[in-house]
Parts: sequence; structure tokens; C-alpha cells
Amino acid sequence: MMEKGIKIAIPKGYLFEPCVNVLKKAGYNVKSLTEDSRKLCIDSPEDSIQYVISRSMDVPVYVEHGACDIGFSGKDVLMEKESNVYELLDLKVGECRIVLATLKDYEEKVKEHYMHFGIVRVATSYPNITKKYFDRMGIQAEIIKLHGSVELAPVLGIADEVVDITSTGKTLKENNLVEMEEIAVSTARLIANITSYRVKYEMISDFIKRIKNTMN
Amino acid sequence: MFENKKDNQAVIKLPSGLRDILPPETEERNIIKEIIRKEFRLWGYGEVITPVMEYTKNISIGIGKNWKDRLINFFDVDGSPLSLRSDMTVPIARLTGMRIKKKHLPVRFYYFADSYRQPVTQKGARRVYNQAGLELIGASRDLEADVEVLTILIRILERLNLKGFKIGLGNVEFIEGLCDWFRLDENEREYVKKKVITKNLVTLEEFLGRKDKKKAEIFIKLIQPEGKIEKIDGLVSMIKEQRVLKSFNYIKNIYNVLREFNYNRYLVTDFSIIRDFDYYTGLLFEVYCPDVTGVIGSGGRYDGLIKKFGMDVRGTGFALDIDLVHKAVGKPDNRKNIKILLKKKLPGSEEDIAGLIEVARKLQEKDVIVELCFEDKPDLESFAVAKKCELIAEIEPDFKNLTVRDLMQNTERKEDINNFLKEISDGK
Repeated sequence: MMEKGIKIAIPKGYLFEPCVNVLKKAGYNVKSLTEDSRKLCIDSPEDSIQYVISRSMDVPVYVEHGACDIGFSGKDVLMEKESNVYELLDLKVGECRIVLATLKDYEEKVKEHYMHFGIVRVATSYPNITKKYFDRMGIQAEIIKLHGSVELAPVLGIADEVVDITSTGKTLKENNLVEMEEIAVSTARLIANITSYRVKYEMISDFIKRIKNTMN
Repeated sequence: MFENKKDNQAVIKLPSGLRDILPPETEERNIIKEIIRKEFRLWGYGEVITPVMEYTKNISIGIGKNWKDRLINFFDVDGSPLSLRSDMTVPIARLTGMRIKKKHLPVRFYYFADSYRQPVTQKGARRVYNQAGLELIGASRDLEADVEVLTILIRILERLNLKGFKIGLGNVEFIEGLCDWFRLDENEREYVKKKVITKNLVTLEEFLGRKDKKKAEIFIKLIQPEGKIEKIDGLVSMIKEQRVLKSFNYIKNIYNVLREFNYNRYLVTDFSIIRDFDYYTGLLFEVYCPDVTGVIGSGGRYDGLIKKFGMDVRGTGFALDIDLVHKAVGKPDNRKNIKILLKKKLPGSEEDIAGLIEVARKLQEKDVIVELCFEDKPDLESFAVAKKCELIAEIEPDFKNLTVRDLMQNTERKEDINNFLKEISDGK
């Protein structure tokens, strides 16, 4: 346990690069982060920081339970997890959209299916966001949770629609999917543990200040 | 790590969010509770016990709009809705309205009690909260009462030896005042308060920024935690809003009194603290401890609550969450009594039981904990260690001598019983 420093959760995947860039711009030493290594906990003693590399879906979980003091997390993950963490800053990087999509030329069929059965079948890695969305629309939805490659589901016929994130729309297109609705826009956020936010407020507010300065 | 259940053994479960607590844990919790109880008593507070369930219409008062999702509810035999209490402040307010006369005020109550809440989001989250707390009701001066309550809280946290704890001080009125400053309507206020509770600064700044960008920046700055209250002084004085200034000065006054005892090192002002109970009206505070996620204690002022039970008096108080305090304290280590595992060397006859009890009683008179052992254990020493005994004393068949095994020093000696009793009382 590092008493004097802070622990920061960094997500793997598409947010990793933009988050490291944010740190770099704020003047933190990110050399150890960019080295090709499989280490999941990386010490950066000169900045009194310990980085924890985790799956993006787990970042808010680590922060909520105090394993990390702060973390970088996509808004999509925050919406899905509804963790009890503080959302302090919009880093305005890693933008993507959460969309409802279906197979090309399939929109009519989906509507027909809904008229007939009063229910839609949706595959997603975001069951909570999906449920909330369809609840809001007053539509009964059968949600099939998949851990990635959601685009496959309509192709293979296990779902009529998908809820997934997209940034360029390339993956959707390649899998012959078209966007029906935009559910939300997501960017990377800085989140904090409730206790750390008070107990380590000086270090955390200093960290925020440095990052904010690079944004303006 | 986990022992396997035998195939034929039925799996017994508890409802989610509830658990049993076994002796090693209760022992530690009791040490903590004793430290807290002692402080409560030293300040003249008296213990109250109230029923674990009451009429829903009483329990739901002050909890807020979502009480239905928060309480554990059922029906009385005549069909009246009943609820388990979800905290102790409401039952004590009810008790005050029901039993206390104005001439008895102010009253000082403390409690150790379980309260029950329905978890909001996570499945499997705790549903029972074991709390130690106090209420100071009907004191005529708010500042004095709040300072008393905070002093007791800090003394307890110091006595518990909690390292690095912080108390966040806030004021509901301050946020209300800031909402006045933005001229927000009822719905907007609700929205802003909700975002303040969840500390969603991103959405908050966006929303307020649409009204006034400059003001929004100040708002966000003001609801950050700050260890030195002087630092936000200038910022606050820019806001010409009575409610803001008044509530800020109140916190400042409390801060300044507590500074006399050097308690300000524990304090962090944090105007984003809003509790999820509706009944709080002014000062609010929360206790945080490093390495413990969650608020280990909280409290504040609830001036309108008791009025709902027929008496218009003001109140203030706090509650500590024993589960989390225990987590923060770790293993409290102050067992004074030694423990002896006492048995007869040979099984002997039934009449010998009286002799065994007699020796046990004599030892207990010297404040020694004695656990009797009637069984012949194949490995007596590890059995005794598991029972946390320092000594094993085996009575010889003549009932005059003992074989004493010291498990700490790994020695064994034979000794006369009376001699042994004397040694014990001499503290050896």
C-alpha cells in the first residue's frame, strides 16, 4: 500500500492510448506505461503514482472498492456499471457513440417482428444501458449478453438488433449493420473513489489541476 | 480454502445481505463498542432502546420520496403496514415526541442498534447496519450543540487509534443558497442536488454552465474538499447571497472552535456532502478513513424532524457504522485477562465435577477466563491454542496438584493448586 502516493486505474483497449497521452501532456512520466510489458501494476516513483492496468469494464469497480484512488473510464462503462464513484472530469478524448443497430435492409423486418411478438431481441455487452433504453421507450426487450463481437449476433440470427459502441462506424459497416438510433455519446472520464477523494484530496486535486491545465 | 460440503448435508442459506457474527469477531467489536460507550457515558448521554419495527407511517417520515424502495416492509396482524427501522434518528425523534416533556430538554441519548435497509443497486449488499450513535435534542444553541457532538466524535476516533481519518463538514443550506444564486426552480434544484450527491461534476458544470459559465466555475470550485477553510473565504465573499454567507460562516465558526483543540487537522470542508436522508437541515458531516471504502460515520442537524412527531425542537447527532469502524481499526488488541483451559487429568467419577467447578470459580475470582474441557482431546495443545488459551491446567486425581502447561513459553510444571492460585493473583 502506497501511503504517500495515488493509485490510478488505466483501461486496456482503445482508451489506453488517449489516456496515456493525457498523462503525458500533463507532464507525467509515462515511459514505464508505454514499454512493451505484461506487468499490470506499474510503479512511477518520481510522480508518486502507481498505475494499474485493467480491463475497461473493471476500472469503476476497482475505484469503487478503493483498490485504486482514481481511474480513467469511458462514460459508456460508467453508465453500464452505475458504480458508486465520483465523476470529476470529462477528458474529451476517446469519443465513441453507443448505438442501436441492425442488419442492413432489416429495419422493416425488426418492426414487423415487434408488431407480431411485442418483443425485440437485442444482443449487447451493455445489458444495463440496453435495458434502461428500452424501458424508457416502453418496449419489451429480450437482452442477450455477449462479451464482445456483438456484431456477429444478427448475422448468426440469435438477435434482431445490437447495442454497441462505435467510433468510426467501420466495424458496423463491415458486418453489414446500420445504425438505427444513437443512445448516448461517450468520452473518457476521470473518476475517483469516495474515500480517497476526501482523504487524499490534495494529491487528487493537484492531479486534476495539472490535467485541466493541458485541456484549456 | 473452503471446506467442501458433505454430499448429504443440506445447504442452509440466509437471506441476502444478512450474516451471523461469531465470537472472535464479536469479541473485537465489543472492545470497540466499549471504547465508544465509555465516551458517550462520560459526556452524560444515556442509552435508549427502541423497537426494531414500527408503523411504516412513522418510520418513513423524513426518509424522502424513495422510502418504499429503502425500507423492509410487512404487515401487522390487523393489516397495518410495518417497517424495520432504517436508522435510529427517526425512532428517537418519535420517542422524544411521544415521551419527553419540554421541561426535560435538552436530552442526550445514545444507542447501539441494528437498522435495516433495502440495498439500492447491488444485489447481495448489506441490509443490516450495526450503528453506535448519539442524539442531542433540544439544546437551545445550535453552535454549542454541534461543537459538543463533533468533539465527542473526534475523541472517539482518537481513542480508537484510527490513523489518518478525516471529517468532511458540509451544510445543506450552502447548496440551497448556491441554487438561489442561480435562481433555479424546484426541478432544477432537485437535479443539481442529485448531481452533487453523486459528484457528477462533468454533468453539473455542463448544466450550470448553460446558465452562467463564470458562476458555474465558482460553484464547482466551492464544492471541492478543502483542508484550509481560509482558502475558500475569498471565493464565498464574492457571492452576495445571504443564505450562502450565513451557512458558510456557521461552518467557519465550528471550524474555528475546533481549531482551539487542534482538531482542524482532521477537518475537511466539503459542501458537496448531502446525505440521502431528507431530514437533515443544516450542518452535515461524514467520517472517512484511508483504506476503508465507504463513510464510516455520519451525522448532522435535523431541525424539522421531531416537529413531525409533535414537538418543535432542534436536534443534532451522529452514527458510526460498526462494521466499517471495525474494518478501519483492524484487530483491537487489549485483552487483559488470561485464559486457561481447565480439565481433570483422568476422567474420574461424577462427584469430581464439583471439585472441577470449584477450582474454576476460584480462578475466575482472579479475573481469569476459564474454559472447561470435559473431553479427552488427542492433541490438547492445538485445541487450547485454537481456543486462544495461554495455559492448560490439568487437575491431578488427588485434587491437590495441577499440571500446568504454558503455551506461550512452552513449559510444563506440576504445582500445588493453592500455590497456583496465589501466583495467578500475583500476576505471574
